[in-house]
Amino acid sequence: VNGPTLAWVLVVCETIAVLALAAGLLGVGAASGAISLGLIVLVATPYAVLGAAALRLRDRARRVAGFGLATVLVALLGLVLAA
Amino acid sequence: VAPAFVGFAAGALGALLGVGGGVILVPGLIFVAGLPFTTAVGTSLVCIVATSIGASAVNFRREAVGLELALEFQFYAAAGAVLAGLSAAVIPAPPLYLAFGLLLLTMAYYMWPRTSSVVPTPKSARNATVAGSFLGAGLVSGLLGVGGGVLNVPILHLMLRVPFQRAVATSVYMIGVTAASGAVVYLSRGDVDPRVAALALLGTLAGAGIAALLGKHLGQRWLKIGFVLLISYVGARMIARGINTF
Repeated sequence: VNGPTLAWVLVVCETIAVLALAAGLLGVGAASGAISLGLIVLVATPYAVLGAAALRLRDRARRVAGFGLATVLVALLGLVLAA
Repeated sequence: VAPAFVGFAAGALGALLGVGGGVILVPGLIFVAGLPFTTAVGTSLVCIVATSIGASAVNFRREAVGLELALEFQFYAAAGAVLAGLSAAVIPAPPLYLAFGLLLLTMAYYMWPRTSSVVPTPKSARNATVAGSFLGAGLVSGLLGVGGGVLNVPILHLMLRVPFQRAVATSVYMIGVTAASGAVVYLSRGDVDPRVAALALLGTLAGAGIAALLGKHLGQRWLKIGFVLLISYVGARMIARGINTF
């Protein structure tokens, strides 16, 4: 995973989120569902990139720390969505 | 439509002046859109995630982000934001209004254009001090709905001796994770109205995009003076509201 790949991940996720939010505001399909999807993708994106970014590190301890933090945050997001 | 206009102004000013949109979004959503403090903070955090993602995409492509440092210290900032998000539910609004007002006035003081300025010399700090500082930055972000870049950049540049431009790029990436961590707590408590957040967010992205196109044609000095006067006025109003609602 290199810098340009991470940049693409960010651009794709943000595009999906913005399109979903715009569709929701315009009342396309299930409007509230589209807005929720947009917000979830948006909030989850930094965590996904955090985990992917950890792959780049050579330092084992930092890599584990990066994966650990991303996992904890994704679990937190999952708990919120389940609630 | 008010949240979209507030978001547009925050995105445009943030992009033109290099500040996070939170310092404009939170007071704008309170005074213009009439949202309660905690809703404004949650909405602002969602918008900050979006602006961080957009700017970080450019910075990652340029390999400008200090990933090792970000991953080493991001835990503390994220933990601070989650703690702040949890405690915001039990902290009454008046102290938060006062804290936000003081933050704006402090920013106004430091942002006033000066003819000569003394550049502080970076000094290395112990990891525990840096970790504590990032925890504090996360707390401020989660409680007040700002990105925390005004704290992250000095920590990275002055304590960790990261070159300034790299410190800014690393901070932009870090505030996205920090704001997302705080936003999750506000979303889970129902403190974010999804439609209002969507309007503010799209406004913010549109404002940032247009400002990026027009930025070169505007005088930075007068823009900065106007911004300082604006945040001084808003800061005074926030303090007045905090005192009146005590």
